Amino acid sequence: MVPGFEGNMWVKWVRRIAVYDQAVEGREETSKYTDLMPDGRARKWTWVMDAKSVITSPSPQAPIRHGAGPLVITGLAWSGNGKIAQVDVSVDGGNTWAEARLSGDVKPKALTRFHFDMTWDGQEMLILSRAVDETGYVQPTKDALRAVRGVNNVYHNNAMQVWWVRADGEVENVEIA
Amino acid sequence: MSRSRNLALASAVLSVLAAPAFAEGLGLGRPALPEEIVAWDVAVLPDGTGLPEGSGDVLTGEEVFAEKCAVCHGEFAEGLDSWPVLAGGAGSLTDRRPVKTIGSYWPYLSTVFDYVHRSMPFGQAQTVTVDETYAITAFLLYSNGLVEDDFTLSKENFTEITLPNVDGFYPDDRAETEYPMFSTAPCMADCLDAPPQVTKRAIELNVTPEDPDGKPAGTLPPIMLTAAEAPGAPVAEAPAEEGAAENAADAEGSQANPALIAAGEKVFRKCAACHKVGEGARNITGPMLNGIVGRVAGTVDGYKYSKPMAEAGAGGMVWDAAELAAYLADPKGFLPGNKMSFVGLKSAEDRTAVIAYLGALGG
Ligand code: HEC
Ligand code: HEC
Repeated sequence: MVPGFEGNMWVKWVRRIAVYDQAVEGREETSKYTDLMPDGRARKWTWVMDAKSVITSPSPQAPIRHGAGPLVITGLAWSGNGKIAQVDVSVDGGNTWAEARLSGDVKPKALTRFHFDMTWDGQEMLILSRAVDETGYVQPTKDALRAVRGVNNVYHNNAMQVWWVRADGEVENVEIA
Repeated sequence: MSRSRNLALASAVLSVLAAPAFAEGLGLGRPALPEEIVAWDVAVLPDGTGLPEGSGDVLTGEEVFAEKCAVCHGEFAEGLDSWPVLAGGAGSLTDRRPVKTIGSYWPYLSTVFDYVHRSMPFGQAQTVTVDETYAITAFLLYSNGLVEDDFTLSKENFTEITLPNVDGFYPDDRAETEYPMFSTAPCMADCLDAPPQVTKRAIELNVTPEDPDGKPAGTLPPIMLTAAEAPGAPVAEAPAEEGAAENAADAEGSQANPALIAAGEKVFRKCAACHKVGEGARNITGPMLNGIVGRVAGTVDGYKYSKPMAEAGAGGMVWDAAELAAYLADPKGFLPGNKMSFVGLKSAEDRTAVIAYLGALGG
């Protein structure tokens, strides 16, 4: 297990360990887990997962079934560069934000649960969460990431995830601008 | 040189295996045999370390590739269906849809040798010999336009080959190029210039797996819902589900065994990379399999069968349970030359289950 690193490095069944004096440049670390940039060159050995968060409820698999009224928005945040310092939630597509509660004993590189209490008026919402880690890194929007990394850079998408909550409580995975 | 490195490595592996067990007297394990270490130690590195003695030429490689790889990767390594493309794509890395292949993207030839020898053909790893691997590697260089058709690749000339994109990679630089940009104080109010608009919906990309009821896969059950609280959706849903269950029961007749069919559905995961079933199933690498039980072999519309399979069907072979079981036990042996590149199902139980599942699918 390699906390904070991409899942591809978490080898489940170790058959042998060999130590080399050079990079092996195996297929997974060349053809696959490299990040193609807009100039046609690629980053390699990009192991750390930057700060990310996602709302787990409501979400497409967890629609709101109880109608308008008190609502707890909850989700998970994590960072490969340390502890989660803060998670903000927006229910208006990112125009205004409020700080969520972090629960438990927040550990570096560990999943951190957050909760945000509100009253839902039963109207549509565009909800998203934004993690900030102890280094001060703020989880970016997809557009901000694309501006740097282009559109063919897939392994380290740590952008904010937007859910579109409908008046009937169903939730859809969308992008906004 | 490479000998002594292997030796050093061998003893390192040996001590890893041996030390804990023997030092603590648990009586577990034994030292690895030198032959075992040689067999495990298949890594080939960019500087040629680990390359075994051997050689192979483009034409031999083309033959081996046609026999062992082309069902998935195409005769010219162009990639069939959604299997990986291995050739072409030069100059495409800045395109909106880049084609990343050995010729256009891979930095080192050692990776080709290592991966083919270690991991391909998919599902039948390590059945390609050393000389065949040299030959296939030579053929892949040829199909990428990097050598002529009279080229022979060997341990001796291997490191003379440089792939075009060798300088196309640089170590992770996010700490310098991204972290400062993304480490400014987060905006809390009036962050947008204009009201947000939905620009993309995953539902339209059709990438979200669905459950049979059309909901996103894994949707939590409506635990709090009763008919009285929410008369809309749930009431409409319930009869539909019952109806579906009845239809399925009709189709299965008296033989339906839900547990067996469910087990068969699990076994079918081994087939799903190549065969689609259910509503709207298409032909992909293999033909779609709705209604296959009881059908004449080689007769799914629009699928290009191998000659032997088409001929078996023309000769009247019908996929009854016995024929299916024999085919699935040993696809190659049952019908030599057919193009299902699948090792088969060793367990009779798995075969029975998957046939029950296919039978329950209906046409
Ligand atoms: C049954 C289908 C199948 C057959 C037969 C097969 N492959 Fe593959 N091949 C695959 C799949 C699937 C992958 C991707 C595997 C993964 O990502 O783990 C792959 C990946 C590869 C790759 C890496 C591609 C990339 O872009 O990273 C190479 C090289 C390759 N195969 C070569 C071969 C060669 C050579 C043979 C014949 C000896 C062969 N394959 C036979 C299915 C197949
Ligand atoms: C690697 C891809 C692959 C896998 C995995 C695979 N198949 Fe196939 N299958 C094929 C191909 C290709 C054909 C066409 C054979 C031919 O034309 O020679 C085929 C043909 C068949 C046929 C004959 C269809 C017809 O119309 O006559 C049946 C039945 C079948 N497969 C069942 C299965 C089952 C069941 C499994 C899983 C236990 C499975 N296959 C796994 C590729 C695959």
